[in-house]
Amino acid sequence: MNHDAARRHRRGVVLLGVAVGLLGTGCGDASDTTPDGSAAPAGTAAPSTTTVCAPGEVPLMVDRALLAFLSKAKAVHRRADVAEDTGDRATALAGLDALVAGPRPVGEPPSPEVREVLADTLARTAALRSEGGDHAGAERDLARGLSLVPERNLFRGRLMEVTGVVAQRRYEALLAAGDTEAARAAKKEAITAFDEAVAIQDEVIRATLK
Amino acid sequence: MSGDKRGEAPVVLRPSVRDDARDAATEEAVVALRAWVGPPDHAADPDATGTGDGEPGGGGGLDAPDHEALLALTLGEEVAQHDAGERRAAARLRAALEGRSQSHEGEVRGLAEFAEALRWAAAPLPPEAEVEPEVLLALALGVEAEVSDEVRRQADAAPREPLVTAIRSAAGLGPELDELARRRLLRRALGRPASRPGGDRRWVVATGGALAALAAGVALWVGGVGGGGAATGEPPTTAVTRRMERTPPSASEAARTSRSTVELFDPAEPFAARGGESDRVERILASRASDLRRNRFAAWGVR
Repeated sequence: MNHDAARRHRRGVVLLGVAVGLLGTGCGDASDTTPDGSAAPAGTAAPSTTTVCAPGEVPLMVDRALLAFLSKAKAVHRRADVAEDTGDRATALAGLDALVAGPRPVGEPPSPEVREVLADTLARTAALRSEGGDHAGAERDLARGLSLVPERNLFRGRLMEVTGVVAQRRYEALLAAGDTEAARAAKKEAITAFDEAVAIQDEVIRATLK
Repeated sequence: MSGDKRGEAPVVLRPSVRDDARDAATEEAVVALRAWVGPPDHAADPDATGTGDGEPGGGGGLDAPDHEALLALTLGEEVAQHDAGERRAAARLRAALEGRSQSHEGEVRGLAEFAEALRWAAAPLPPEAEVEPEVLLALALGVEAEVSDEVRRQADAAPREPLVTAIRSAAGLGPELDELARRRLLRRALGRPASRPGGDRRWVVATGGALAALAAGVALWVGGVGGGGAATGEPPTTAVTRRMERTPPSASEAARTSRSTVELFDPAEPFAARGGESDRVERILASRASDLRRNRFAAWGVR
């Protein structure tokens, strides 16, 4: 290795040091996955590489991958706001669905921030689908969101409230269709979900008073 | 190492590490200068668009219509075309960077101070230097080093102001740049090699990228002072990482790890069933951006 090459190599090492210092974490790279842990579907988003830590290797640090994900989530939700304001539910849903299916910082389970943002997003997509009459799709989103936030916190509470709203809409639709039996069951589900939402909120409030 | 020659002190650092840190500081500073000045038409460069807040390219109070020409002139490069206004602006900036203009805008003056710090960091040691820079750094940072009274006297006599400025800048007390601007500058400084077609580039401006490079140098030096990578023959990157692991953080310095975001929201105000997602994500993003900034400073060894 000649002198210039050696200098370049050393400089590369120093710059790598800069990068390590800035990232604040020292794990390897991995391809992105979906919230389910599977590979992101081809074509759903630009592929990217991000930091991954084996369990117990290094604590999950707040890093650039997380910030990138949160920045993207903010933009997607803002865009959905605009679409909803103009009554374009399909466009809003398309963007939000892409966020859920797209790349995210790797980690299993995902970092709390990622789980909570995705859960909030799924609550929104569920509400949108339900408004459009797609109750089954809404319930799928809710089930997925609830699996992301098993903790009894504000995010789960919201998911339960949306669950109640979706069940209530289904109840109304079934009632209008004359399916009294199914409507009664949907109504019961709505009440149960709302009760659960209230119970979670009570727990959250009590926890803060301790 | 001269410290070894004098039989002093467990203060050791591979010369190559020190040199690399200086090289990086100089190189990245020049790249960062380009980034700070920015292209004249941000719309033409998506990377440079930013958010508009704290836009570095528009923040210096510089009125030159052609920033590339101004940059080239400031660095002493020949440019094909430039007008009188550009030449005046370049001369003004150069004077500020050289510390000859005290009446310039505060931001440029701050950059000039930091430029001095970078020059100090990048300058080669004079052959007759008796005090190793890492010894000076160690003493300036309050690290106990077993040095002779003579070395300590020389360290006391050495110019500390540039070092203090550098450390202040690394701690976020330097030129005002918001987090997004810092990040953008850093990305450009580390990710886009600058063409360096000759010219005397002694005068450099400190911005986010330069700050990062200098801070890395500081971290490397301090790692060496602490008997880290240089003493053990570890690569510099390992030395930095080990320093992070070695230093037990206090409560205020603890690295910010990933955690639930519920603390950001008032539990007495449950989320509405409909709406509010964008505001919530924005609040989470702001919080974690702050955490990332703290982690960076912690990684640099800044307390």
